[in-house]
Amino acid sequence: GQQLYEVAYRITGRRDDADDVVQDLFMGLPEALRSYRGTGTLGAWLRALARRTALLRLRSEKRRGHWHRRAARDRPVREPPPPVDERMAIQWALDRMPDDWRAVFILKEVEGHTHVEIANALGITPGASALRLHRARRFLRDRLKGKV
Amino acid sequence: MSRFADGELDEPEHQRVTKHLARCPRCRDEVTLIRRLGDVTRDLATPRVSPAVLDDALARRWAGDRVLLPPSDPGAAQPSSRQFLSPLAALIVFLVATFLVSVGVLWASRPESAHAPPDAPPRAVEPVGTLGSSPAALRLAPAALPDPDDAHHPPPSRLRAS
Repeated sequence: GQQLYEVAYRITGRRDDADDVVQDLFMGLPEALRSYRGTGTLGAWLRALARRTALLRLRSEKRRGHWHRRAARDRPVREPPPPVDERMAIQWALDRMPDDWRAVFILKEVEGHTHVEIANALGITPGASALRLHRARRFLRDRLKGKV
Repeated sequence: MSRFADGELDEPEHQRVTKHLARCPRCRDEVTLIRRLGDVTRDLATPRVSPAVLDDALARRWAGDRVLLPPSDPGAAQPSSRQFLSPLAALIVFLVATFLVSVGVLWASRPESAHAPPDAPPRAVEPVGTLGSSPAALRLAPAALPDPDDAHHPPPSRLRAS
């Protein structure tokens, strides 16, 4: 459960969204297991399921017009400076990153997927995946000057 | 630099960038930063999942709630591309069906031949259902319009009314 929660939390960036994703996973797992063909480990299959569920949640929030989170992050307000600690600073910046960029960044850096695999998962082109990754890194670099 | 840091360059490009990095400290710092961001992100701690999450899930399932999860096979679904293709495919099907129905209506409404039996009532085609109906769903109905070839022999109902 904790591993699946980590996947959901890193992709959605919010505890309440991650809670909902994990809850949905446990509720739908008995039926979803029928599609497990035995290729690869069950753990990898579950992580892939958690990833898709988290990504779908992000997309459904976007469709429902939940732009307030992104708008809040893009608002040019005087926000507090990043923490001094390197890890906390990166987490601070990830929390403020647009969802689309963060999803690609996490799938590439943490989950280790290629741009082709990310493109398939998100329904975008590999080029768009690479562009979002570039923007995510630039976002982190601009906000973490001197912290990393 | 991003692709170099990710090891995505082919050999000639990789060598060219490596030579460039040897004399460009700014690009070297960029590559170092990219790799450091990935390393630290992978080590970031995540919150612990609350036991209440699982308890709630079990309680809801016991109560009969069900959730349909997305297929985990990467080849099974490409959500956005399918979201784009489904309306397009539906539009194409709609246009083809409309065309076929229109052709069917025009074909059935063509003037009768000279060899049609005199007592045979003119036929009109009445489409049934929506425009998405197949031609097989079309059925024949008694005509409500007078036969255009029968201008000198008005329908019996008009003779009776006069």
